[in-house]
Amino acid sequence: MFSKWAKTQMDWVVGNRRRLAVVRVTYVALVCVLLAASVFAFLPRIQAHSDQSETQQKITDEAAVRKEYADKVGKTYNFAFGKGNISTPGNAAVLGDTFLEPDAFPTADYCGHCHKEAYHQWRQSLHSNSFRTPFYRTSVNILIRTKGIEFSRHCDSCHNPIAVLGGGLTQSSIVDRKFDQDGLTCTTCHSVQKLQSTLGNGGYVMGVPAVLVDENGTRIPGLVPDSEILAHLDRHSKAVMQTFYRTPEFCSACHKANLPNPLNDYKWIRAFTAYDEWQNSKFSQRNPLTFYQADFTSCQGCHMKRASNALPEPGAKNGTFASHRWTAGNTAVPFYYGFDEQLEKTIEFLKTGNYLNVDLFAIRKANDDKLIAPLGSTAFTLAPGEVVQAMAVIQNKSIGHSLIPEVRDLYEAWVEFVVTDSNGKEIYHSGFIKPDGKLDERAHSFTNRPVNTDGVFVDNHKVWTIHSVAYDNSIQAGRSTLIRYEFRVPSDAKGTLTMTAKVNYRHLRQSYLNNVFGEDHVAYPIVELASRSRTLNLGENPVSAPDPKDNADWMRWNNLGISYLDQLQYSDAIQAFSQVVKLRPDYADGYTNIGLTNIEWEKYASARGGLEKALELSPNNARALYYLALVERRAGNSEAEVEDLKKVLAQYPQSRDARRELGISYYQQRKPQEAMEQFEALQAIDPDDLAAHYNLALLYRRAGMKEKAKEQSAKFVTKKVDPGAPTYSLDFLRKHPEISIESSPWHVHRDALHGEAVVAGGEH
Amino acid sequence: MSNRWFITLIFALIIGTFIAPLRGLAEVQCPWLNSATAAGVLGGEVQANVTPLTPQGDTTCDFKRTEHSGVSSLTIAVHTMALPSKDFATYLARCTGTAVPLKAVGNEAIQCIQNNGGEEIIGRVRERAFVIDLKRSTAGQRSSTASGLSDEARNVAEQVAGALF
Repeated sequence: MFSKWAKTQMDWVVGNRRRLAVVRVTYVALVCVLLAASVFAFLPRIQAHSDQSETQQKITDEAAVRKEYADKVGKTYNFAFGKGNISTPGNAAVLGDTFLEPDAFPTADYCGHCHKEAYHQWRQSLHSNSFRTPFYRTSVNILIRTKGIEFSRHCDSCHNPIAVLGGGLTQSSIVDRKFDQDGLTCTTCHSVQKLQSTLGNGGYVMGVPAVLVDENGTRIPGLVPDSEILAHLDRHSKAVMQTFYRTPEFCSACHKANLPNPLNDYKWIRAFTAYDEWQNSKFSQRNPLTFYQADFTSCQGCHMKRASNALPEPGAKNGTFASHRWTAGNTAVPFYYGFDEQLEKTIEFLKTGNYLNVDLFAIRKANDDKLIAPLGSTAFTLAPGEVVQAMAVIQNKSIGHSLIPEVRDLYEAWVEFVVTDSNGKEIYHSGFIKPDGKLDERAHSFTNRPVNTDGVFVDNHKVWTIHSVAYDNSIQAGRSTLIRYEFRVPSDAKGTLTMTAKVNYRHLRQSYLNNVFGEDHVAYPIVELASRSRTLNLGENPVSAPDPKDNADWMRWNNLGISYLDQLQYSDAIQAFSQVVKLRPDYADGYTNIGLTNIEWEKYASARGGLEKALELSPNNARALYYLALVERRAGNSEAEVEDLKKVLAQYPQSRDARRELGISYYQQRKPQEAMEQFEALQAIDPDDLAAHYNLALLYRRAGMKEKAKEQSAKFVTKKVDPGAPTYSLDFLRKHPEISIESSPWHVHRDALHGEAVVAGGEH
Repeated sequence: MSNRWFITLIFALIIGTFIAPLRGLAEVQCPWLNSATAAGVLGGEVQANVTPLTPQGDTTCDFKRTEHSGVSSLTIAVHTMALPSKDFATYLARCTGTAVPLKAVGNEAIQCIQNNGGEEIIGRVRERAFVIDLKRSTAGQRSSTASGLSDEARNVAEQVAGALF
């Protein structure tokens, strides 16, 4: 019994020990697991805390370096435009509002280490050469030599932001200018943190460059090893990309410029505005008043087209990369630097975009008022000895801005019109290049002539001396221009004549190239953008088949009508648009065009019929409604006017014209609050709109908002055209009879030798 | 000496006291390249010597940096030529080494390769010739372009030509 009891006890003890061991092991394991869990649970926080501290440390370090640098630069910096104001007459701004050391910007070489394709393209682009090219330096040097380097902050806010924000543009600069050769380097664009507005002149706000953000999205200034970027590609992307980089507004920061009072000691003058031209074009889908419609296309859509990359490029998506060449019209820079690939792609871009349409639309004879049009669709006869007026219509078909945009005092696009006989002998030639490389001054060129107070052409891009523009023959997006050439068919001519019209482009004008290099430079490329030839038989000319690139006849008439409208030939415009609706009775815009022409002609009552017909064909058509609103206003139908404009804005909330007119409507209806809202909305679209400045000055004053009224009033006064300025233009035109004809909307290019002229006046 | 003359003299002395130090402190700047950029090229602080401007605005800028390893220097000489089509040839003839044309520096330029370890660039912008002579006491970290010209020398040449345009 005892032994049984003892055995039982022994078994219990042994069993208990085993259990105990199991319990102990379990307990220890549990503790270990808990310990490990608690360590792992806190590890990310420790890591995060460490990241945050590291980021904060880097921010603190950078701020200290920046402060020391800014203090040093600030001691000798020429604050000519106010203490603390580092970029006036430009608009460049930087977070922290003080100088930013150039070394804060990682170089392109650093970025190019991984982004090989981007680097390769950028190096040949205009952006990377925005400062160093002789074409830029020549004019900015004149500014520096004549007015002082501090004024060049106006130009360099866009051409060399690192120099401006680094405080390099001052007398006795202490800034190492090694960054000049990289112009707009990768980290200038990719460090912009926000946009000020669409005023241009460098309307961006630069941040302290960073190539990585921490896990909380805080920007980490300075360089980091490749391995860190590769480990956190999403954070790299967050540091260097912003959604607004893909918008046209980003481009507007620099592709829009004005000449402000601090620069010219005169008044605000518009320099160029590719952004507004785009906004008014069919590609923005923000303007209901365009003659034609198209899919939405941003600046980037044309100038940063995606293509497959040849070199490694982490920024590529699905094998394609947004071009960092920004191909456009500049052939001079790649030609000078020997960037053959860029030059080739630029020429390809200019030639293959179907941007322009050249239409040899009609001829008229000296002794006959009848318009023979459209050529190719109309039979006619031609005889030796006859004086012929050829009418070429150039349509800015698919450019999202004017032809030619921006600094059109330096660029040169023109029409070369040639008539040859059956032996190839020239009968007439306009728009040729003279032996000295300069363009025939009687050529029709899509350029302008800014003049100074002496009535002299501002030849060297000395924009601060511009007081007026003698003429501006650029073609706005979607519009057309009619150019008339008059020549005599030789009395001994036989067989056929060939007429050719080409639109040529040269970057830059010969006289400017001469200013840059002296007269002994090589010839710069001339690119043919578009052309069209037609053969005229001496005798019978039957109807012929159209060229594949030709517009349909209704569009040819439409473009002629648009040209007439812009040349103030209202009767002829109505005749042309009437042909449109005859060929396309379903085309609502044809009727709207008739209405629009009548409005321009101040025949408001006559305008109504066309507009109502357009609305019958296309109910709620915004373009027709807009013009009908103007007719309603003239008829005193104030409520209808407002309703029409509201319908337009419901479809096009960013229509500057509709906002402006609705503001005026409300103002006239004595609804100041509603009017104010419209003008403020207009100002958000176009901060330079004169009507907005004027009306807001009045409305604010009446509302007791004196400061705001004062501000708007001052802006209106400086931005409105100087009524005395046209005298400088007249002075210029008087001195230059050879080109003064270009300032007249309706003019004929003729060889002075043939004597007899086709009578001017109505063409229908 | 009359009182009037005495007062004038005192007045002149007072004015002179203020003006003289300013004149003495005023440093002549090199019009083609600032000292900070030269310092960047030569690797540290430099001493600048600029000859007085000629009526045509020509001058020679001499930047020197003295280190224990030796003296580094950057000399930029600019001259206006009366007849560039002829005169520039005499500048080019100064190159006793191999002349390699440089693309996109001024109107035209050459790199003169010699065996003395220095880098020389001779170029022209319109009617003005420039000669750049860069000598570094040590090759240091110089980065070379495909032509063998250092990035720094190329940048100096672009800066000088850019200032002359």
